[in-house]
Amino acid sequence: MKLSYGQMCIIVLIYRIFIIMSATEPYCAAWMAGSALSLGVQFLIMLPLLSILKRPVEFEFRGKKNIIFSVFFIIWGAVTFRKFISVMHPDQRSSASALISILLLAAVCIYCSGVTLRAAGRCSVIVFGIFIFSLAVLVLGSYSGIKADNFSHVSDTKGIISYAVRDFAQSGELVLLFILCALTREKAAKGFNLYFLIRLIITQATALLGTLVLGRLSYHLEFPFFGICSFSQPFDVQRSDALFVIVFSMVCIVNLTINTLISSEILKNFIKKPQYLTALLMAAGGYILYFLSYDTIIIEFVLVAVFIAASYIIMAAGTSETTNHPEAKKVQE
Amino acid sequence: MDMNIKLDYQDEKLDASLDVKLKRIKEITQESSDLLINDVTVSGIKCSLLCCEGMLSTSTITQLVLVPLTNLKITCKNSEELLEHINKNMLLSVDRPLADNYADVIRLINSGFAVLITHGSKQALAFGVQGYNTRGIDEPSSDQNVTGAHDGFTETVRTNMSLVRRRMKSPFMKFELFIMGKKSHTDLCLCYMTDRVSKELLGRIKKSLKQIDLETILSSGYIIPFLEEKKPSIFDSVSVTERPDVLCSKLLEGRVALMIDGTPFVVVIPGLFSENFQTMDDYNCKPYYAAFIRWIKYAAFFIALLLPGVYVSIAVYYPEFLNRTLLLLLAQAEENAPLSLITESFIVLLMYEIIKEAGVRLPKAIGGAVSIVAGIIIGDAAVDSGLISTPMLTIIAISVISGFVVPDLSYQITVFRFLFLLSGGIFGLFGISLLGALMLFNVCSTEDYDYPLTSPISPFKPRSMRDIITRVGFRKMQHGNFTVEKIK
Repeated sequence: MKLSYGQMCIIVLIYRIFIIMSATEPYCAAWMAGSALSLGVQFLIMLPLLSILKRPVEFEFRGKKNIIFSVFFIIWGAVTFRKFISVMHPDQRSSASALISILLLAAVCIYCSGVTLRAAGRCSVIVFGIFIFSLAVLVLGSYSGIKADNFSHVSDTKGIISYAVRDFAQSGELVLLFILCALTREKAAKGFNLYFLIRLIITQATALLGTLVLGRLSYHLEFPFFGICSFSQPFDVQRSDALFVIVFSMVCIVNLTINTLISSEILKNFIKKPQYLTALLMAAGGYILYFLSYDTIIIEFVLVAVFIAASYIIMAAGTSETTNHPEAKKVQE
Repeated sequence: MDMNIKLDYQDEKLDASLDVKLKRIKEITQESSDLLINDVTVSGIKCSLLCCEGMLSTSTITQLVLVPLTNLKITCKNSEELLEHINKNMLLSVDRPLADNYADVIRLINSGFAVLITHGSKQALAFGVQGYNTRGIDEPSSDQNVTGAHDGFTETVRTNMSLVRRRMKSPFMKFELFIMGKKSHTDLCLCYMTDRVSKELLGRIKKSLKQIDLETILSSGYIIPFLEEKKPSIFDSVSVTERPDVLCSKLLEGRVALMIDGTPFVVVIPGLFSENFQTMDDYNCKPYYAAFIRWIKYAAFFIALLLPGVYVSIAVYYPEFLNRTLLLLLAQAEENAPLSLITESFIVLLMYEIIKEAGVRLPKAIGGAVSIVAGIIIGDAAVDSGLISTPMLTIIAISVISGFVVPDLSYQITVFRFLFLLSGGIFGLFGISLLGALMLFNVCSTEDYDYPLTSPISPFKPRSMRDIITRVGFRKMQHGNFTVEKIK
C-alpha cells in the first residue's frame, strides 16, 4: 500500500478541513495566534517521526501492536460523527433524524472503505479541489462584506494558550500522519512539510476572513465557518450555502472512510469484515457523544497526546526490531 | 451424429483424396445451400474450387481465378507441385493462405475466400476474392463533429484497418489479426504503436483476451467486460470510438485498440474519465474557444446530473436558500400542483426517458409524430391542466439538454439523475452528498491495468492538465508528447 507524498499531505489536510468547518471557536486575533502556536508545537513534536522513518522499516498493518491505531481511529471517528451531527442537527431534540443521518453515513463509509488507500487518496485530492473552489467562492462573496475595523474591534475573551490547547485537542490527524508517512517512505518529509505549510495557510486565511467578515458576530454563532458562508454571498439573487453543505458532508465522508479503511485494514487479521464493526462502533459512539452537553475538549486533548506518544513507541519499537534483523543490517551496509 | 461431426473436425487434417475431402466438407457444412463447389481439372489434376455464395465477388473470382486456372497448361508431377506453381508463380490474388486442416478450410470459405483443393494433396490454397456487400464509409452516427473528418469505421475490420493505416503511415503502427468466438470465428485486430505502447500493458491485454471463452462475438459489448476490472464500476474504464482520427490520436498516446469484425465501434484501452469531454472539434479551433467549450461540457455534465435533485432538495428542505422572487414564483407554480415536488419531477423525468427510448426505436417515418405527441400534446397539455408546473418542466428540460452535450456519459447520467433526484428528495442536500461521495469513491477506485480512471486529475499530473483544464496550442503541444505511461 504505497502513497505519493501529495496524496498523503492532502488526506491529512482533509481531516484538518473538517475541523476548520466544524469549529465552534469564534474567529479573533487570539484564535489565529493560538492556532499558529499550536501548529508550531505540533510541528516540533512530530519532527522526530522523520528521523525514525529514515531507518529501513515497512509499516505492516497486520502487527498486533497496531491495534492501538485502530482503537484511536474508532474513537476519533466517533468524535467526527458527533461533530458532523452537531453541525447538521444543532437541535439535540431531533434524535430520530440524527440517528438516520448517522446510520446513512455509516452505511456509506462501509461501502467506501472497500477501496484501496490510493483510491481514497485520489478521492481526497478531488474533494480538496472542491473545497478550494468553494473557498474561492467564499472569498469572492465576502469581498463586499469585509470590514477592516472588525480585526481590531474583536475583543478576546479567552487567551492564546487556551486556543492553542483547543487546537491541539482537535489535531487527531497527527496520529494518521504516523501511518501515512510510513507508507509514503521516500518523500514523506516533503509531504510532511507541505501539510503543515498548507494547514497554516488555510487555517489563518479562514480565521482572518472570518474575523474581518463577522467581527463580534462570530461570538454568537455556533459554527462560525458557516456564518462566513451566510454573510458572503457572491450573488445578490442566489445564495451559495448549498455548496458548503455538500462540501462539508463530502469532507466528513472522506474523513470517516479513511478512519474505517485503516482501522479495518489493521483488524482484518483478527476479525472478519471489520469495516462493519468499525463503522458501527464509530456511529454508536458518535450518537452517544451527541447527547453529551459538556465540553469534551480536555478528554480529546489527553486522547491525542496519549496516542501520539503511543504511536512514537510503536514506530520506534517497530524500527528497532527490524534494524536488528539480519536482512535490515544487509540493507544498511 | 451432428454434434459428433462438429466436435471432431476441429483438429482434423485434410485427406489426400479429393472425393474424401469433398464428402467430409459436405458433412461438416451439413450440405449448406450457400456452399458452392466447382469441379475443374487443372493440368490433368482433378481439383475443386469451394466458395460461399454471396461472400465473394463473381467478377473478381472469374477474372482472377477461374479464367487463369482453366487456361493453365503446365506439366506437374503431382498436386503439391501444382499448388506450389499456382501459389508462387501465378499470384492469382494478393492474399493466398494455405490450409492443412478442415477447420481452416471451413473458416476461409465462410470468410469469403475461394478455396482450391486438389486430388493427391493434403493442403488447400485459398484466394482472397471477398466481395460481400458492406456498408460504405459513412459519417459516424455516435460521434459527430463540424470541422473534422466525416468518415467513420464500418463493420468490416479490414476496411477499418485501412482507415487507420491511411492516417498512420508509420512503420511502427502494428496490426495483429486473430480469431475469437468458438462458433462465430470473429476476426479481431489489435492495433498499437510499437514505439509508444507499454509492453506490460500489451501483455496484460492479450492475457485478458485469452481468458475469453465466448461462442460468439457480435459487438464490442461482448468483449469490454473481459477487459475491465471485475469490480463493478459506474463509468467505463475502456472507451469506444467510431472515428479513425480519434483512434489514431489515442494510439499515439500509447494505448491499444481492439477492432472487432461486425461492429464499427473500436475499443480503446485504457480509457480516462476526462476523455468523455474531448472531441476532435476541440483541436480544429482556437485554444480559447476549445477551452470555453470544454468548460461548458464540464458544467453541462454536473447540471445534467445534479440539477433536478438539487432543485427538489432546496425547494423542499432549504427554501431559504432561494431568493425571494424565485421562491414566490416557485410557490405560486406549485400551489395548484396535485403532486408533491419529488413525485412530479420523477414522473416528468420518467416520461422523458420513455419518449426518448420510443424515439430511438421507432422507424424514422413515425419518429416525427413522437416529437409532436411528446412535445406539444403531452408537455403543453400537462402544464395547461396543472398536472405539472412550468418551472419543473423547465428544470427537467435544462437537465436533459445538458445531458446531450456529453453523449458518452448518457447512460450514467440517465440512471444517476434518477438516483440523485430520489436521494435529494428524501434526504435533502445530505442525501445528494452521500450519493455524490459514493459515486466519487467508485470513480476513484476504478483503474484498468493500473491506469486510474481519474488521471490526470487525481493522481494530479500538472503537465497533463494542459489538455484538461484548457487546450493548449499545438506549438506547445508538439513538445513533450503525452503518453498514458505518464499518468500511471
